[in-house]
Amino acid sequence: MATFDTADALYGTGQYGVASYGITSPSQVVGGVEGTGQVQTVAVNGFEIDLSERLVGVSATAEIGNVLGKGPAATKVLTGVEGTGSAGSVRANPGTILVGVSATGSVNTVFENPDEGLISVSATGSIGSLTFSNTHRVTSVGMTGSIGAGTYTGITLVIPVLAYSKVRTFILTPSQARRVA
Amino acid sequence: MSIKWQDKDPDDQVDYSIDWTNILETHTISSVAWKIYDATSGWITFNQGDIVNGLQHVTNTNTDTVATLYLGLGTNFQEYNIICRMTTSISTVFEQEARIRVVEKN
Repeated sequence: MATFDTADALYGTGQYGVASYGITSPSQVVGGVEGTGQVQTVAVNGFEIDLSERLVGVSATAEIGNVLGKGPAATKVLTGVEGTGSAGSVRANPGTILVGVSATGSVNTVFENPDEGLISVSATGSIGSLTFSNTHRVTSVGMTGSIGAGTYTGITLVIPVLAYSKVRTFILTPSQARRVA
Repeated sequence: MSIKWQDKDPDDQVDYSIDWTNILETHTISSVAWKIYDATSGWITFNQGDIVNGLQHVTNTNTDTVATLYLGLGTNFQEYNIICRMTTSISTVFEQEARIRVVEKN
């Protein structure tokens, strides 16, 4: 079978009845095929891939709204909590040891339960009134603030007001006193 | 006629009183003033904080019937003459002289 390529041509030469004129049926080799097409947008449930095809790689960009962690709560350990805000009230539960708490904000009320050990407390504020009883012993107090009023018991005045010793009192008789006016 | 209070130690700061109940009858003490005798000036007012011849007037108080003088310091073995001048609620005035000797206790 004759083979022609793009360099060959047919001209009007030949023998009558042997060669065909103007018509030829060559077998030609096509060097390549080039085309332009469009693939529809890939969407979930909208594009089907046959099992016989092999996908070498898939690349996608998506957005995740929320991530929720789920697992046994008892086995989780929170090594640290850090926050900034205001606390309405802080109450420590019995049996709980607070190693350290660091926070920035305002605290309205702090409750202390008898079973708990507070390693240290530092505060600055004002005291409305202070009642001191001699039945208690205060070893040390360190604070900064203002004291509104104090009530003290167990302190003996050196000079009792409106009181006198009857031992050193002389009782006058009507004849002793001298009227001068 | 003067009365005599108990002796006083120079280190004591104690009260000496005159009970005017029998003089006042149904009335009360309105005010009290104190005088002390000084050899140079005679009877002089003896007010709170004054120190006359070594004897100190610490303070004074009174109830409705009793006048009290708180004395401090004093010179050992010296006797002091003091007058209590009492005005009643009906403006009558009475005076009573008292003597007190300062003696250091052993």
